[in-house]
Amino acid sequence: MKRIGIKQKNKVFALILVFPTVLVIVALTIFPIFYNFYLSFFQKHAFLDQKEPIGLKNYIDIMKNPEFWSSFKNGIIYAVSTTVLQMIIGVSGALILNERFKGRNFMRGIMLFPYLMPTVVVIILWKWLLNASYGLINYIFSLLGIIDKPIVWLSENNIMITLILISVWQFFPFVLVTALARLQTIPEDLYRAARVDGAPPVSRFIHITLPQLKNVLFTILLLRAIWMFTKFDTVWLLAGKEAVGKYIQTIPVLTFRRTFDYLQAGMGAALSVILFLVLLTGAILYLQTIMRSVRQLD
Amino acid sequence: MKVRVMKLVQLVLVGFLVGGLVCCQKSEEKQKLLRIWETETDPGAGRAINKIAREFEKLHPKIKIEIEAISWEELSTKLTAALSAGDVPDITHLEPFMVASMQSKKLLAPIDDLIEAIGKDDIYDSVKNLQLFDGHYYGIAYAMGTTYFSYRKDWAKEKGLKIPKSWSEYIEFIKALTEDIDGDGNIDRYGVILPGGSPFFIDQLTAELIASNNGRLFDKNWRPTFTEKEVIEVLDFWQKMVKFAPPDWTSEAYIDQFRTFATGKGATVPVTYARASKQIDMDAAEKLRTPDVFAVMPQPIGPSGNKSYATIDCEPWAIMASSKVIDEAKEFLKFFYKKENYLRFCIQVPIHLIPIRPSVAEGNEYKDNNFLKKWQPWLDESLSMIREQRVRPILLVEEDDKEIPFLMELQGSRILTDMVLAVTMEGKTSTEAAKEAQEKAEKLIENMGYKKW
Repeated sequence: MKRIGIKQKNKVFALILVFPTVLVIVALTIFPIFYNFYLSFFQKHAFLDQKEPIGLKNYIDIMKNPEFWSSFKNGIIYAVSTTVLQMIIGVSGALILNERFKGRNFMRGIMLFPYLMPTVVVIILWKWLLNASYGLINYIFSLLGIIDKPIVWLSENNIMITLILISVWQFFPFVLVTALARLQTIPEDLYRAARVDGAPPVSRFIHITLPQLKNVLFTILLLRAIWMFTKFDTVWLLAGKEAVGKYIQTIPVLTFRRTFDYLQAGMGAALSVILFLVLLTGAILYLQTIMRSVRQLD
Repeated sequence: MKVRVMKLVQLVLVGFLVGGLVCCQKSEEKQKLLRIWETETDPGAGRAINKIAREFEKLHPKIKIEIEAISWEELSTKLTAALSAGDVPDITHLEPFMVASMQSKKLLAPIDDLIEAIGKDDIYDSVKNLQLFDGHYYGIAYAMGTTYFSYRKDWAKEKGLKIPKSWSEYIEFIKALTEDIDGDGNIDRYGVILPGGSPFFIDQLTAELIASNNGRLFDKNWRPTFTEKEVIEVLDFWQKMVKFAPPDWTSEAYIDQFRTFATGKGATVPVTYARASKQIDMDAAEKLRTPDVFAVMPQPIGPSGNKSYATIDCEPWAIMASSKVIDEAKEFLKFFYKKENYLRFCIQVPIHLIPIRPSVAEGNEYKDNNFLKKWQPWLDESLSMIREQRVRPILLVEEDDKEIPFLMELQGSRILTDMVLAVTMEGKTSTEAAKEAQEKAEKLIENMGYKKW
């Protein structure tokens, strides 16, 4: 009887301890999500206290708006290409850094560097390097005879490629580190046995490394794809405020502009709901993968 | 015993905390806080405002002034966020095209008594009534600067070129000045430098060109008029002009274009404010830093126009209606416009910050400045445009446009910039681009509930 009393007391105490955290999550995450969803059914000015219920009109307008579809297309191009390139470079880098060679630890540290830099610094740095008139990259290319005219990296034709290259440079270390961590846990015995059986390096990679990496790679792929599709800062800082920004405008940027430039908070809310649904789909897939991995481990 | 000591310590700490909070509150009660947002980019001018504020505080010990420097590119976004959070400053700089939008939403306080204090007759007509709505003033320019087409006078002289008066002459002018100097097949000097990196300046130049072509952006019912001949001609002009601009003109920032100009990579800059003279004095070769080399000309006239217009940069000070210190805010602004203070501020960026009071702008005290004396032709050009009222604030192509309440949203939507990019970068014809922009603008205005046609 006394033990039950203590248990109940503990439960109450635990609830009291958890309450502030729950309150913060409800106030700062759950409520804004629901309020945003609610706002998406209104024509709401960004700063005036005027809102008119318009049902699904915001969603219908979005579906009819070519700017949305071009932003969606840009988002897909950006997310797919950066994710694929990050995976290729990150996994290749991890395989190299998993081998034993002199200076390996130093290289591991260096490789992390781009990921540790604040995005604003990365963008300022690259904008200087890529400047068509005085940028170092064009200068080196012309010294090497690769180009005879400076490449205008931030022109409407090249800006998407530039954005992709900068993003890959900045984010591939995440793939590298995660893949490397998994590589280091693969038992050496497996490789030793394969070597005894005469398996060449390619076979060892296909039959041992890849299956062992599979789950981690799928998780990274999902995470990176979601993060790149919803990326705002890199895209915005590179050209969000500039005229050529329209050629790399993705849905998060469009959402921001609809809210703060067009002052259409209702439309901005509808766009973020769409973005949220995309994110949710990705998150469900991610959780399923994790659950599958846990089951396999069990 | 230990527990008791701990409790005692806790009680003492709580006591200090509560006592501190009460004291803070009391000292805040004594002083009224006046929050100011200003967008002046020049560090010297920023320091001058701060100094004026500190002197005002000395005279009014019950008022504390907090000045926050805001990038004018961020102003709209920051104001939007502040207004939705209900945390706006008491005094803020605005763009003239924002005022109607904000005034129509009753967000601004009238400042008639401030205008009286400055002296109605001592304000240039070009800026006096820009924020006058229904007989009340809702803002007043903090200073003025006008645009010019700046050009390399020495190069034009070398080639025997005359100052272009029309757009067709201007195209010939920049064509003649676009050159491959070392003969390596690459152009070393471009005829025109454009601030394509910023939609704000693309919009500004487009509106200015429309004014110089006797065109308009909206009819009397606020319906966009982008498909009218005068606007189409502006787009044609853009198309011709960019052929002589550097290939990366779409990423050229406003300030960077003056560096490009000062260092000899370009021959003309259609969006030049007098701020550029300060940049030229810093970046150009020492012997070239004169108005005989870096000169200014009035805007050329479009094929349908009969006189040209310059853009006037004249951000007004405005007081927010929600401010709890409206009277104190007005007192501060009266203090700011006092001759000695105002002069001290305006002289920080001579010619670009021309005083709005003729008694100050045309007085010897303002003109007795070495920098100003050196760049006198630039000042004369500005003053002549202001006196002749051949100036239009950004996006206000016609005088009545100041009443349009959706220019802030139009500028934010970048419809005008996209229209220019469509003809200059995407290979669309001027008519196609104008039609697309017209549809977008009509939709935007309709969505905001301002459709009257």
